[in-house]
Amino acid sequence: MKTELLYRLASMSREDYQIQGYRFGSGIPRVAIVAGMRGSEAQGLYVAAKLVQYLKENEQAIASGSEILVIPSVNPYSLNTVRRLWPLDHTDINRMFPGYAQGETTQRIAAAVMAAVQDYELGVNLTSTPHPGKHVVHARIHRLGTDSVQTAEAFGLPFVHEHEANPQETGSLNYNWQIWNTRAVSLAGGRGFEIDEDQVLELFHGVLRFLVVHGVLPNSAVPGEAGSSQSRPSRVVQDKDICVVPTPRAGIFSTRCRPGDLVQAGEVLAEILDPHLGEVRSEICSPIAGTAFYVYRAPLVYEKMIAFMIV
Amino acid sequence: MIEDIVDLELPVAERLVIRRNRLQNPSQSSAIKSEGIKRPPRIAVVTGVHGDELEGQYVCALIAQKIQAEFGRLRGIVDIYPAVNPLGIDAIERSIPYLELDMNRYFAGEQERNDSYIAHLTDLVTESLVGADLVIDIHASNIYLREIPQIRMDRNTAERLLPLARMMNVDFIWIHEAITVLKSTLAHTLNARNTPTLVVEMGVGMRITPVFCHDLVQGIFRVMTHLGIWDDPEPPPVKTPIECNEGEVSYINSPAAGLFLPDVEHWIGVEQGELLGRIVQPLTGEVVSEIRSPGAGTVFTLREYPVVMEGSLLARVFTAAPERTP
Repeated sequence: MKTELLYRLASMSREDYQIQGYRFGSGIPRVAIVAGMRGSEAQGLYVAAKLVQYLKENEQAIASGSEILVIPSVNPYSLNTVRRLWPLDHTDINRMFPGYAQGETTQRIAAAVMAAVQDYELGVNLTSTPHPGKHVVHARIHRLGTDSVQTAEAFGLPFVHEHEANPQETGSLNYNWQIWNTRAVSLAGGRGFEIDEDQVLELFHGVLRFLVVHGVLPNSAVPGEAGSSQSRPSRVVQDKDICVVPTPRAGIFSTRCRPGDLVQAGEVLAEILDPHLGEVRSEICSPIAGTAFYVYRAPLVYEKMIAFMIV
Repeated sequence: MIEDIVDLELPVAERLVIRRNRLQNPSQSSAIKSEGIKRPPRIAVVTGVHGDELEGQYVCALIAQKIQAEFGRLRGIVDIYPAVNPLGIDAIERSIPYLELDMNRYFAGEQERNDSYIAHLTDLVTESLVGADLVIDIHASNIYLREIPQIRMDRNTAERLLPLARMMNVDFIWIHEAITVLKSTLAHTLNARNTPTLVVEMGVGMRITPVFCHDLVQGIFRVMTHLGIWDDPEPPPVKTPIECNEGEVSYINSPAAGLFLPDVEHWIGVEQGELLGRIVQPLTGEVVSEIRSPGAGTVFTLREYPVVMEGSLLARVFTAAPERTP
């Protein structure tokens, strides 16, 4: 393992901002894994840390001529202050790609990350969505590359979400990686600022499976089911396949539904309660049968927020 | 007439209401109809999409006061939207509180979305504005940068918008290239729907600069006169703005971290190499960097918030005008 300082910036009052990278193996840049781009992405940070630990212990197993780079935390400044966005100006590093080395601070950071990861054949970003609820673990790709679905299926996660980039997402690492011919996949799951140990393991094993499928690690290097080069089938969903269930009222949000639960058409998934009188203001029913892809998770909810996404 | 454009339930004993004040003189409107014009001309002044921008609040108040004081001159419709992001204004937060998302990146543009809550807000605001003869979307920079009164537009809209922008009594018009992320702004969305929309940037976040507000109000009444909304046989003169194209702007980003202490006034002519400010390290007092102008020109953007890091924008200098401006 080679530890490398990829970027450093001075601050007036804090210790220097630093991006650290961990390199394994040598030769062709095969896989770059990037996490912790927002302060809410501690789950991705945790998964990346487990990968660093694993690769450090199993470095000799990496296919010869292959190099892996892991950046567990692009954004220690936000992680350490528990803020989603860059503390000084509230910008989102993951909307600043491809970056600009002479530009604003977060554009410079994005440019430094891009320079470090743009020559890799495969790119994985452990990321999150801005929704205040919890997702099932899934691989997310933009419809740019022709073989991106196949790349994403190698994780063996239950879902691959083929998502059409909106104008802001053209500034994401994933989008720009693909413009520079890296086959890029974002892995998302859970809820910002939280860690779900089961999802951490699912993501960790998913990345190991991905490395095996792409010939970067041999089957034998990975114990158990994760080492199988037989990809587990993922269900590929597009934006139009996601049934968005909005809240008809505001109030206390009460649900027992969890991401990944199978639900029936017409099943009551949640109640919205009057916060003074305790009465049920509204029941939220699933319009279709399927799997809960996303479940709103906060004590109070506004009217017309996304309560569930069912696929 | 106060109208609710958006009325949504909030969780605890409150509603989220986005309001507009429609100012219309019924007798004048019927006079217009009798002249065979189908509908009275309409202008809308929109502000507060970003909760930390207050300059537009004062502009709205001044417009409402002037119209009420001289009501007989009103011939069309003036719609005032002071608070498109009311929770943000209350919480002193630029974005939409709770979701931490910039509302001005969630207008429809030309794309369909399923972010139901924000899309609901932005779609209703958009629909209430479509069809106006002119929409003026007033922004007040942010808390970091002070801007001279200026109108910004995408090159693709310049042909239609420039003649209107020139009447607005601003100092500066900045015509820039089309930018992908701006496709989901209110202004882009409305311009794409054939509703001419001008974006005004002026002043600084969380503050009011009265002189800028008074100047802009004069420009808004001038354009209202042009559109037949305000009756003024002798409208007061307006400033001739500097028109600036991409490539005529130098961006000065900080080379170091520290406190930025400007040595020049905002909206002033500078020579090449002139000292614009210094970056000071408070722990030692050391001047870690002297910031000098890359060319002769006019400082139209100047850093207001003192703390900077490497990359923080310190100033923008318009480098095409050779003469010093007032």
